[in-house]
Amino acid sequence: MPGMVELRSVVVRLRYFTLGPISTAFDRETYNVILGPTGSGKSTLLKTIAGIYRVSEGSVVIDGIDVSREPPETRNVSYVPQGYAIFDHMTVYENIEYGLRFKGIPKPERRRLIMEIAKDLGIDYLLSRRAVNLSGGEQQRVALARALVIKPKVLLLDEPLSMLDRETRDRIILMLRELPKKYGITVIHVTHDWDEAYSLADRVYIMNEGRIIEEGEPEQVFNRPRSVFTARFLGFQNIIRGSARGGNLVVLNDEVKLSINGEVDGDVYVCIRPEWIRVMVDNGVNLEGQNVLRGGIVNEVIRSRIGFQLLVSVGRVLVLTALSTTAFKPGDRVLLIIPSENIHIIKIDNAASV
Amino acid sequence: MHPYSQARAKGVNGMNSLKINIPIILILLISIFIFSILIIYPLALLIVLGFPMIPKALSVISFLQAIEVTVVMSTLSAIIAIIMGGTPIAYVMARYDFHLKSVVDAIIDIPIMIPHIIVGIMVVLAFASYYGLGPFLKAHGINFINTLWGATTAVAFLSSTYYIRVVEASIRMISPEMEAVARTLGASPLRVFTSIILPRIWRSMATGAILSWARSVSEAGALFIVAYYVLFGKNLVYPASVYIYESYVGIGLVNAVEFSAALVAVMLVIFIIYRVLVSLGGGNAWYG
Repeated sequence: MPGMVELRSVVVRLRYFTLGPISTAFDRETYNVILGPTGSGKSTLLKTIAGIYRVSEGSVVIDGIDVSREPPETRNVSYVPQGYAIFDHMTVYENIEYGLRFKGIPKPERRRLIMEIAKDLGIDYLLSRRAVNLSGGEQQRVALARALVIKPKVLLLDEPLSMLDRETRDRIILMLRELPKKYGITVIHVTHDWDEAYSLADRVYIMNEGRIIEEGEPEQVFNRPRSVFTARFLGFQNIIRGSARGGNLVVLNDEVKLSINGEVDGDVYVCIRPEWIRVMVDNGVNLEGQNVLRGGIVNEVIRSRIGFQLLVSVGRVLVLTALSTTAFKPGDRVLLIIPSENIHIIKIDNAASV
Repeated sequence: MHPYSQARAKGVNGMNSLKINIPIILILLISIFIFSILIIYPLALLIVLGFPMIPKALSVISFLQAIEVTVVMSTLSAIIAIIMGGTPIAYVMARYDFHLKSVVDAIIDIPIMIPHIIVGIMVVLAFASYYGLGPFLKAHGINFINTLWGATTAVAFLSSTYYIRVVEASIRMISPEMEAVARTLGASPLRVFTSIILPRIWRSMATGAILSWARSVSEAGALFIVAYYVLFGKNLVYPASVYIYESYVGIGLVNAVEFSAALVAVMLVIFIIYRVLVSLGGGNAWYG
């Protein structure tokens, strides 16, 4: 199957923002997550696929058909905006029925489809309610039911989890992940939360300043990002300039040497996630081995849900961020162990998009 | 919000208002006083003095005809505002951003800004003179001077702004995302308007219509020029405001108070009936 949604050098010029050029594809029945900071153009991209914004250049192709000039109502794309946009002057039932009314489906059949999707999403108890005062999770599921019941080819979700509490989120994530296979649709989900992206995506797209700067499998993008922007955005809190002389040794700030897997030459960025650094008490025991950084001093400790985030100075100017389950105190002497397979190198020349 | 933080916020507010209570109450009292002197006191006096005379005023045939002409003219102008021009313009002003938008914005406000006598002169110049459309209209037997059409045109020009502004504000409150979703679900722009926009703004449309209706009833300045009296059926009838002006100038204050109280009473009754009807239509509270 070819790509279901294709963007061919799409450019959208708005009054204060220009999207693109973007060329990419979203595969059939996959879960695609577009990740980017606020203002990167993610929502604009979704609205362009939906047809709410017209392309200025290039084309949007769905199932091989160029829909760039078609209005939203004929594209067979469902859109769930960030606030869900529940039609609160109708009942929940009427909300879900809304799209079916335009498909020429007879009333009994509409009723059957609505009951089916409502049962599927666990909102059948809401159907006769007026669509006001629904909880976040309920609104979310009503919006999904309304979007799915018309059997679209593509489902566009704009920050679908940002307004939910954590518990509801975790439940909805499980439900969202099943959507592509269960309903035979391509999901394009936009978010700025990389945890969310990591748990949902079959494929991840990174956006910045109106362009897609990187895309790939989640594992690759999250662990081996190609650009410094992506690395920083995806939680590589340690990004340090270093240099290598054709070998597997990188020197940071002319003082700290790290050995890496593979060979590299020239100026590089060394990227390390804080959770990949092991922190131990430096009690003077001679612990030798690769990439053991001695003489670290804890500067600051920030408590977090998954442990203690430490700022550790190593050497004269180098400060690394590391994650530890032990509650260290500022001033503690520690040693850091950085496994060489956990050091990601980005060469300066392909980090041009910083 | 978390109940605890809510409670805390309340507490903080309470403390603040305790501290700055006295100046705020003082300012409030002064503004209530000014408001009373400017609006409530004259209105109350008119009603108290005029009320016993209302039945007498309403038994004067020429005055009843004046009210009839005024109501017909104002209603026609409100209908023009709703259907012909006001609603589409309000939608465009609320939803689209375009070059020269501020110019259009200013043009919509012109009727509020320029003297109404001048508006009357403009209507005569535009539709009943030797310039512009005048000769064409005359050739087809359409007369604007001292006719219901002329009077309606003048008050429609003056009152549509109120309608547009009220409806525009209420369309602004509807999330554009809702329209976008409706479109992707298969609704054409017209269906989006009837199924999403209209159910949410019809109350504001009703409010805007009654505002612009009341504004038309009150009009005098432009009517002095365009339709000092109106050829209505076979009679020459003064619009209500001109009628009251005539009675003040020709007979005196007491006579004018009588008719003024009667006109205010009629308007209030229509206003209240209208409000009740609007509130009966549908249970949603979509006030704009």
